[in-house]
Amino acid sequence: MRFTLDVTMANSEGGLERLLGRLRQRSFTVCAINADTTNSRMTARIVVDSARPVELAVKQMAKLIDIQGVEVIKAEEHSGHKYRQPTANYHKEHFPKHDYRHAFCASQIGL
Amino acid sequence: MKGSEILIKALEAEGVDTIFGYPGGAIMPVYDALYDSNLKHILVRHEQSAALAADAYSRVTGKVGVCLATSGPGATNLITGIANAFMDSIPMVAITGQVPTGMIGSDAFQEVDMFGISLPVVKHSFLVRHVEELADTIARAFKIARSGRPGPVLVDLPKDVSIAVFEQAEFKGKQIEPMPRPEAKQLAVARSMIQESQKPLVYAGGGVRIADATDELRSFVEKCGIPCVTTLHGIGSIPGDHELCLGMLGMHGTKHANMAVQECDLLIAVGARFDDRVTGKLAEFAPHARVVHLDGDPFEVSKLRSADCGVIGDIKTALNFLHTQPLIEEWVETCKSRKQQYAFQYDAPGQSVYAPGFIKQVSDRAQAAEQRTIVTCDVGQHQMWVAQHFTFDMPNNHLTSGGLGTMGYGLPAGIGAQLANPEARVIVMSGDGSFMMNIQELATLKRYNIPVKIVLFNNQTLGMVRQWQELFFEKRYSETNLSDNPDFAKVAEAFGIPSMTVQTRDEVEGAIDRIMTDDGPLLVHVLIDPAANVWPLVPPGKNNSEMLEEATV
Repeated sequence: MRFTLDVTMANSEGGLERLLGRLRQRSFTVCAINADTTNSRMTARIVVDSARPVELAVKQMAKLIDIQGVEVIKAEEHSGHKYRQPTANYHKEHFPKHDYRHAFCASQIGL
Repeated sequence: MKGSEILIKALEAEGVDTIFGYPGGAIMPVYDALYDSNLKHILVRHEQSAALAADAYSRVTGKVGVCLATSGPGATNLITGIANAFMDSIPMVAITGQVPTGMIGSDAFQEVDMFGISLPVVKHSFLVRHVEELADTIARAFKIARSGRPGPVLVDLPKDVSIAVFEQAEFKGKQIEPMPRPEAKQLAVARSMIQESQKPLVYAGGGVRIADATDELRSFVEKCGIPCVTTLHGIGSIPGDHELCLGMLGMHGTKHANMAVQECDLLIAVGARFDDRVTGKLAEFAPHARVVHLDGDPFEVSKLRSADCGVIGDIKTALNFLHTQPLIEEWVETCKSRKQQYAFQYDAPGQSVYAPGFIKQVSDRAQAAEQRTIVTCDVGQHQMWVAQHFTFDMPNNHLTSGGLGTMGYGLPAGIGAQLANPEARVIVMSGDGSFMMNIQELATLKRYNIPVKIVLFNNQTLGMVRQWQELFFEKRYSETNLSDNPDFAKVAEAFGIPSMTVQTRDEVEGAIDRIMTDDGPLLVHVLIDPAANVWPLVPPGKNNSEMLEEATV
């Protein structure tokens, strides 16, 4: 599967490197990336390939201190066929710090 | 104030009293500031031990452990200890010296990209480029280390920053993000599932200790009357001799624990993460069970095993809300009956020392004593024997490297534990393979006269690997023969540590007497059968009902 992710994060030293390392270690291959900074914030659109569910990538990125939001904006198979829209988006600003209880839809935590 | 002095003040503001480290060029300004400070610095003999001792210090005190090293090899030597803390969720701040900012990237002497090297094994890393940021960075590092799911944080400190002067530094003191309360709706669903279950089972992990929820877990288990199995890190969260405790589950778990897991209809995971050493073949783990998963880390819920109900947030609060009384008398009696039926036996034939029996005897003596006993382990067969045969009544009395499996953890951890609690009896249980990994710390025991007791089981082989070679690699014993070990008793004596060697069973009681009564450090060198294996064993790739036992192999 190929996924396109929009990531918002604090513009801190090594932040992007940390994010890319986390994706690599969890078996998500980065195919394309476009990142930009505005003041204290960085936004990045990242295209990744993986056989693993994209929810794993979202959760692992969300654990990083710098990450403020992750949104899966496209999911497709390699043939170009569009896949269902995953629902594991994460937005830190919607929740108190370190409070991720609602960060994922109910199906992600089995309720 | 110089940067190095700001660092010391910032550590003091965080409540730090003891740090473990080793000096060198780039960190010299910090050591110069330490010279006048009230912080207690423990000089270890290898930086890896500094991180491992800080890890154990944290596990025993509940505080953030602190270790210190210079740039380059000093910093890289910390990495295994940092990774150990990361895998076991131990709050730690590791401070490393760095070459001056202007020389970073020039391949300077003892320069290494510690920030980059650390990234996969820390919660966060900082490179402090300006002295004005230092106090705030230290405060952030401690806050991150102790908040949410704890873990290590690296602070890389260039030499010019540590000698730069800044007079307006502000020290905030201890900060922590409180764990959120669990959702009432999820709690209600979980309680309903428990009430409806016919064969419920509690599966308690290291998260219980991290959440300081031992009392709440015990109360929950007793009020509900539900049997409990524990992971390696969950050992002691319910007393090992509690009637509802079935012992450890998983690869070297008890037969009755694994049978209960495979038969239960509801698995209540409390601060556990479905590790592969626990589950065996994941697809066949607890095949009849629905899962209620309580965890402070939302990202562990449904990571490996989908939860039917995820309760995320403060475990203490959750456990207190879940008291209910399911009708499960028959199930509980079955579990208790099997516990008796499959209890470990200690009547091994022969006169050579039977390691599980030795450990059981130490455990019995420790239980009968008033003094608190803390056991630290290395990694391998002896580690599993301790998990199986020593009865713990608190999880922070059993310090073991569960996630990373770091050979060499035991002795530095014993040092950290003893300094964290000078009144406790600290026993290092080690093997000959592991002990050689950090044997130099005997010098630290001697230097500070730390009264750690070391039980060194010597089977002259890399025992756990040898066991797997015997069982799964057609007895092709590739590079596991350690029969050329030094005479460990003499080595200890050379470091100034009293020692004794135990070769037969009739010498065991006298050795344990000394472990229980000697005032200072002691090494008890115990010779055991190289062919002794750890039983039972779930072979790799098998499910937990397919245990190998000694009698069947």
